[in-house]
Amino acid sequence: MASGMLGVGISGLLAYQRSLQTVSHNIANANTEGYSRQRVDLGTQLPNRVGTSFIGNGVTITGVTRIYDSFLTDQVRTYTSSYNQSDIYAQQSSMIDELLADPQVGLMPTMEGFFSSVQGVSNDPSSIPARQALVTQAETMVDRFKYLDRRYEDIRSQVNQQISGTVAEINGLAKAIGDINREIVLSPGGSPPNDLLDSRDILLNKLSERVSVTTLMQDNGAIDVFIGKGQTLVLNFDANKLATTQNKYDISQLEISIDNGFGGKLEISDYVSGGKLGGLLDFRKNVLTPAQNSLGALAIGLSETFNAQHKLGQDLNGVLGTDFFKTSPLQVLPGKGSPSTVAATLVDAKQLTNDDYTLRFDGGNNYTMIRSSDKQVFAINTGGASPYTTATMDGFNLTISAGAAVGDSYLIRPGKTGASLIDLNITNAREVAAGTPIQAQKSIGNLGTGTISAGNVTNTATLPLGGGGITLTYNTGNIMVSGATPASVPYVNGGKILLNDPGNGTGIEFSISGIPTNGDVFTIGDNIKGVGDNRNALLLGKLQTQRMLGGGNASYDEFYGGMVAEVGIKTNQARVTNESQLRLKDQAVNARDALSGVNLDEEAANLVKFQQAYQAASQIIVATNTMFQSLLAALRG
Amino acid sequence: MRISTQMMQRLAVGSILDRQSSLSQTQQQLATGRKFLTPSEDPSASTQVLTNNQRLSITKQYQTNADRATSRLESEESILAAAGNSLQRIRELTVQSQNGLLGTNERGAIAAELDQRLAELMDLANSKDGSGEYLFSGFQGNTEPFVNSAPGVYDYQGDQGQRKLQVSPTRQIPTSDPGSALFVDLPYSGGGTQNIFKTIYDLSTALKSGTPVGAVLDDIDTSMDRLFSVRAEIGGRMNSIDSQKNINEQYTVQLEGLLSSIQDLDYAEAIGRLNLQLTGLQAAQQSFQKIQSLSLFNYI
Repeated sequence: MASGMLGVGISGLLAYQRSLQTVSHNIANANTEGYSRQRVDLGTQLPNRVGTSFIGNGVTITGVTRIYDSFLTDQVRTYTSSYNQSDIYAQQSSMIDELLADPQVGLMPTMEGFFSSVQGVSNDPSSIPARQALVTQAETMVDRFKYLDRRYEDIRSQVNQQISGTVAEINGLAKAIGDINREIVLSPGGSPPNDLLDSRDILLNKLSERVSVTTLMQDNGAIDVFIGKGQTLVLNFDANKLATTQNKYDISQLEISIDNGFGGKLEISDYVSGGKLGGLLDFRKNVLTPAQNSLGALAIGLSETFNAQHKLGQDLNGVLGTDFFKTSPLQVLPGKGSPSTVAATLVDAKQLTNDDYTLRFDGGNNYTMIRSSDKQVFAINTGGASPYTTATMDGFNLTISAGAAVGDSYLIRPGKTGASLIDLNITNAREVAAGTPIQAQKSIGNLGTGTISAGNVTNTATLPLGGGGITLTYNTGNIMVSGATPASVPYVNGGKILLNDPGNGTGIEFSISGIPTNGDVFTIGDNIKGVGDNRNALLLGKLQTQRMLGGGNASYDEFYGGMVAEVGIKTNQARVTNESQLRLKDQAVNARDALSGVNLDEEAANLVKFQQAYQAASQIIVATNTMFQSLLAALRG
Repeated sequence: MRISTQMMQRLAVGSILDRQSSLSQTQQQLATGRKFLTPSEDPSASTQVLTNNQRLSITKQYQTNADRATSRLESEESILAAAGNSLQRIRELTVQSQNGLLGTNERGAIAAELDQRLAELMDLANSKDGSGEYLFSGFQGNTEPFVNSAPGVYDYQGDQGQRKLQVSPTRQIPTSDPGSALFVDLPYSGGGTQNIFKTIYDLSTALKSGTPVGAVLDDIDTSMDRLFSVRAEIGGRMNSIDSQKNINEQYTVQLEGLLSSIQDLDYAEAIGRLNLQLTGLQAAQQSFQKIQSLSLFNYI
């Protein structure tokens, strides 16, 4: 009887000692990340049968459980992934956003300076200082293009570094999860190893911060981890390795690959999402590359359109203008193993976009080009010609030579190198073509009131005119032309006259107004010694306000503004998404903590409760002792 | 709902951090006087700022061009006024010379003054502008427009180019007139055209040799008329420039107003917001302190 009571007392002491220990463990871990509070589950011991009754035998510990809900933990993981993805995306976009916003380093002030000095030249075309100012401002603008591009490249290489670092971290975490799987599976005893499970959850959570994963609980207690489209990262005790590999086209761009299980590597960049890694890949694809391409397209567009007008002018040495800028060629990168049989050429700077294109050889005479942003397909059939030049697509055409094998592919990035390879072509201030190569004159002695406009050149093929130039004689309703084609044009007061047109609507343009008399003569000759001529400088200056880019919808500054807005909008969206993801993540963490987190007040109450129970159980021992002493005393008695 | 101790701490700290971040945003707005600091805060407004800044800078450039055009026209006008005076005196001399009672000496004196006036007119026609370019040689700023290559032969070496300056996106104003139109391409009483220098030379020569002169007065009047009409045109151009400058000025004011309304901070609103946020932060900090000091352990 007394021994039974002693046993019950001891069982109580033991149970509450364990309970108190668990409460202490909870209190000690109140601030441990990812800790799930634990609880000692108590049950009655098997009773003794005494006659027809059962006599209780005290308390026993049925287990120590962690208060945990796998659904809530999964939610935390999911939102952690999305939050970290949007966080790094917003962070990286902000860098570009701030770069473009900074009035000191943005492109706008240098473009303004450049065009302002074009006006300076048109105000004073023969002034060497004014011309020198233009050359210097042009250099400043070119430098700014290059500077911004270099910043983009810096960001690109930082992204590469962060990708490498993150991949290494993921590999470390995957290995740790495999190891902890082993410990969990091999841990002895029937009770779950609560703290190990918590540790594994923490590791999984850290993994989710880096990349989105899916998990599968095995019967043996191990958790398998998958990334991308079901590629195995952790299987039972073993971890697979992620690696960074060079992009097929652009070796300076790192991609994510995973061992494919057959000794090779499988590129999974396109499938990886979530976490820091997903955010970095998204940022590179959706913000960095388009922004860099836009800047390049602007550099190419501005330099090409400016060059085109500049070449229609005449410089201070009296010769036709040359290219003012050196323009970057359009980048074509053959895929690994593909021959360099494709070249891209700019045709119409107005239509150039900030897109990337992939070109694939399908066999026969067929190629397929796909625009990245909207997957628009351009089918190309060379008809067997080599080299074959395609029609103009988005402002450029391709020259394709034979030699590609089926499946060979190319990446075409028209804007990519635009900003890094723009340069000044002219070196001497005298080479600024401020004048127009022709000049129109009315003969002194004409009897009529006819006047001739200053004239304009849209095609320099027949220049210089040399010799006597072009002579125009009015004869009863017609202008007879000598020294140019056509031989005569009907006279229309103020109407545009176009001479030496090779058939595309360009040539030498002018108009004659008033009432000429028969025999009145007008001449058009080379512009000799016309150092004060600013006609072409005026036309160059007007480029600033004309819609030269973006399909004819944007001036240079509007094109740039569009790019700034695009980055701004994306950054803004990223921030808004980031904030809502943060709220969702917080909610998930709160929901998990509401269930699993330690509440110190609760533990304090439990501490008091278990302390009292422990003290009561001690009293059972005391009572047993007293009873035993009474019995002994009675016997001695 | 059950709340864990860590969660309580996190929520409290989180709300303090949130308030601090919006406070810092307001503080930066107040420090810079701008509504937004990066394009992402208001992408469409920041694009407008870029575009309008550009317009502002172009408009300022047009104002510079207009000032430049005005000064060029003013110097042209003052030279043409002097040429007009010279011609006026030549006209008077011509009228005097037609007096049949004049003796050889008197005719000689008139001829001498005519020669002097002719030289003066040539000098004016060969004037240079402030940067050393000939005013009346068309585009050929480095070429002397008029040379007296042989007695009585006056060659115009320039061209008929007329320099223009851009004073608005759509408006170019001529800022020069070629010497050919001013002094050369003048209908001649004897048929065809003749330059004014030759006309004066012929008059002087005739006076010296005593041969009768033709309708030289008409020719001088033609020349004066030409000068007057070009000067009237110059006046017209200067008026246009003035009115364009006013338009540009108004546009600048409009643009500046627009820019200000897009990007400038409403200080009253921002300061109000700052006070509210400060109070909010204080409240969050105080409640944190109060709640954190509560613990059951204090009573055990």
